[in-house]
Amino acid sequence: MSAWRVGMLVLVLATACAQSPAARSATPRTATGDTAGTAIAGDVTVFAAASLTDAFERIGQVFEARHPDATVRFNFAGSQRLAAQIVEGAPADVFASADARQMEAVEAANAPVTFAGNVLQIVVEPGNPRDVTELGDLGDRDITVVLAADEVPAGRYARQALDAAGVTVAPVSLETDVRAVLSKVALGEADAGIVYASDVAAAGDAVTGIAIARDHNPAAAYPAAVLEGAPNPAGGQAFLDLLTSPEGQRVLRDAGFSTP
Amino acid sequence: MTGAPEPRPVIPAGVGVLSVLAVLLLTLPLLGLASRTPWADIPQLLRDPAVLQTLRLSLVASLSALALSTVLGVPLAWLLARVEFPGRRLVRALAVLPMVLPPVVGGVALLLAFGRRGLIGQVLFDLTGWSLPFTTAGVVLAETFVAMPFLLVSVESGLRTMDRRYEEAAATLGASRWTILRTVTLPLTAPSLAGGMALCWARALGEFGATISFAGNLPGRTQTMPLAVYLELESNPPAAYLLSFVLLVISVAVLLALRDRYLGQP
Amino acid sequence: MTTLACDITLHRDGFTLRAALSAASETVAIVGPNGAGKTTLLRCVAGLARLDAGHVTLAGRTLDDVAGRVHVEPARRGLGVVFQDYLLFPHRSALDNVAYGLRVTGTRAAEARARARAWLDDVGLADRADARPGQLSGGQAQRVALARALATEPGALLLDEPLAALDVESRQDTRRRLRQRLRSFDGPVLLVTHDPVEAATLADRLVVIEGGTITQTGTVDEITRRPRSAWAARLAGVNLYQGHARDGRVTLAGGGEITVAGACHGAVFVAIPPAAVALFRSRPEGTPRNVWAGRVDGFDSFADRVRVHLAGAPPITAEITPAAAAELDLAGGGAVHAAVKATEVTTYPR
Repeated sequence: MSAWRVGMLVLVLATACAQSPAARSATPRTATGDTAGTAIAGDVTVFAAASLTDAFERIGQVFEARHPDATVRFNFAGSQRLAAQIVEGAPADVFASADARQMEAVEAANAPVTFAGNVLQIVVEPGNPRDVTELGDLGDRDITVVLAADEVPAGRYARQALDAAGVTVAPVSLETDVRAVLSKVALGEADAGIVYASDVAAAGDAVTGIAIARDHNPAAAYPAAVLEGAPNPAGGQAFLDLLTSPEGQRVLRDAGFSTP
Repeated sequence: MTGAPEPRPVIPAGVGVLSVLAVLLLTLPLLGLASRTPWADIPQLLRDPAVLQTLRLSLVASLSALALSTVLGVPLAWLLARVEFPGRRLVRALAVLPMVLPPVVGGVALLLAFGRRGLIGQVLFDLTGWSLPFTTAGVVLAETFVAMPFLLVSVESGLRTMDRRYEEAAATLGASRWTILRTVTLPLTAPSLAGGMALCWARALGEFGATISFAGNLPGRTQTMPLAVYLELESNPPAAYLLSFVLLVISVAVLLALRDRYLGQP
Repeated sequence: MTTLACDITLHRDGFTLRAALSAASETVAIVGPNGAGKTTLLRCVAGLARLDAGHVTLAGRTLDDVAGRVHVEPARRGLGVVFQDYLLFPHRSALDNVAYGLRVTGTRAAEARARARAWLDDVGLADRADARPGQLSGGQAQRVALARALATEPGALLLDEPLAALDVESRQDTRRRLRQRLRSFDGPVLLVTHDPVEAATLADRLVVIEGGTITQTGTVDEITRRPRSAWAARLAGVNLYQGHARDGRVTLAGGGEITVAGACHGAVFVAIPPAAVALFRSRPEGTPRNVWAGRVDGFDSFADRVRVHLAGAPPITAEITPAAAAELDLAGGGAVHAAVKATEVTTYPR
């Protein structure tokens, strides 16, 4: 066969093998039943929004203490990124998103459960050297502001808050997840950013948080779900149960989240 | 000097199979990209002002990085190739380090040096109230940091392998040092300079990790094409494929323009 | 009269070059074995290597003076250099190569090209003006290199192994042309070569360098009549020994004794032409004063003669007819006796 023909053949094969995304099966899965009695083992893969990093790592330790044969593996990133990865076929058992929108983008999510809430805070350098007291101050052109990108839940919530307060902000950067916003402020590169209360709590002394008035503060609701076609559905369900259990809720509250 | 044409060499079976695998590994991803790209939408995409803005920013930044890399890199390459000075090997290792450094690490390092609280950046900020992160200049700096070593390595290699006696011959004919550089050294190393510049530019165009950590992401000011692709992948995959394809076409065009010389052979 | 004079001392990597010479309007060949320092000497004169001590002057103008801290750059010396391998700029045509020296010293493009064309015409390559060096044959490249050096009208010419890169066929023709060109050149010419034939054909005078020092200078004739070094002896084609003479006998440094005719005393060279050596299987009786035994170490056959190398005290090379060689049964092994008449031996003071 000449080189030309081989090339065409490869091209045709490649195109034929390309599938459209989100072609997940829609058949409902039968319930596995009560997990308390079965032994949970193996890897449990959890895709979680970046703002859940510290809280989930602690919950993961509790989970592994309870189920010695199981190991929890986390993938923390912006919820929009995780949703895209799942849609492209990344193998995960649980998806915990920072908003309902990204959860809806994932068709394979089975019966999402809202397990936590969060409020926004303005984050500034320790000691608040620029004297920021409210959202309106962020409109000041002398203040360098960093926000999460619009596709990121934290970014959308931030926009909602700013619109509600009637403030126009010209951010110098739109980060790909909320933790990146936090780190830019913590590093001293930006004067202020808008992140979750839980992020401020996680950063400890590295930053100072300024509360945002309740009427401008959108309530973030975090849904989580076990995914259709998960490699370890029993393990995923067990993790979800832990999230909604009193112990899990306590960890979340300690980390700065609010009750759903 | 004519004679019977040589018989085609027999390719050993192992070499053939492995070569085919290598070609597949390198080309299948590109074919996959080409197959998923919504071709019909290309004209519309190229008229979208947001896309044009991103494209223009990418080109401006990468070409500026190329210019900066050339201005700084060629003299350094000359120094490393021609002058024996104490610590030369250390300097060369440091100059090449960005090539092996993970780009995000590079971005962090840039922040620690040029950020608002960085070694140099702090001084700059205290004096002028201005800092490099979040600016297009910051993008250029990040791209130069990762791409300059490519140019440096290529030019230094060209200078080393060049027969220096040509420069001696030019000297005996009456040429000054500057004239020798202009009329003999540069023409003889032009292929390695061209190859180095092409690699440098391609690397700068594609840089992502260092630019996003150091310069951030803002359309029109710091959002380069690779960054736009990364973000579009989450919200609008077909647009991401299209942008990727445009970048691919530009890269292929650069390589074709260099033909065989991209390896820096004179 | 343009005179090039130099007195050069240079140390490098355990090797020392110490040589003084001067040349007026003549061609001086610097000859000697490889590694003797010939090219280094030339590079010093050209300014491409730095002296450790000494000076270089051309037509009274100081180019190098270590004591006086003077070093004129190669570009300002007004010398024409033809390098081994010629070093024609590969990215320029033959014409542009020849014009290069004129262009970089300020001559306008049009005039430089015109003069370059005239020079190319002079060396018979007017039709190759636009060729790239890669398209020229070895002999053509050599001529272009020479034209390039001459185009700047230098005060002196330096040539480093000008024919070494050529194959045997083009060498003769190129040598002839080169000789004509050098004859018509006004100033001094220093020519480095390891080939005695080349030296003999092209030069008026030879300077022999061995191991970094000059061992002999003189015309070809003087050197071959009285060689004073191994290299010169090879050029002359004689057996050469050093020794101490006393009452008609010379004790040789390498072992053995030679009886000589004529008076001489003290440190001497002894030269014996190979043709004067007779070989015998058994010890001969007769008039030759010098007879000694040796062993055949090897031999070279030519069309009309055989050169036989003998190991012994002293070792010697003899030249005999093929018929004699056959009679002698050279390959047979065993002792062979050499006999040389004292009157065939030349001695001269060291």
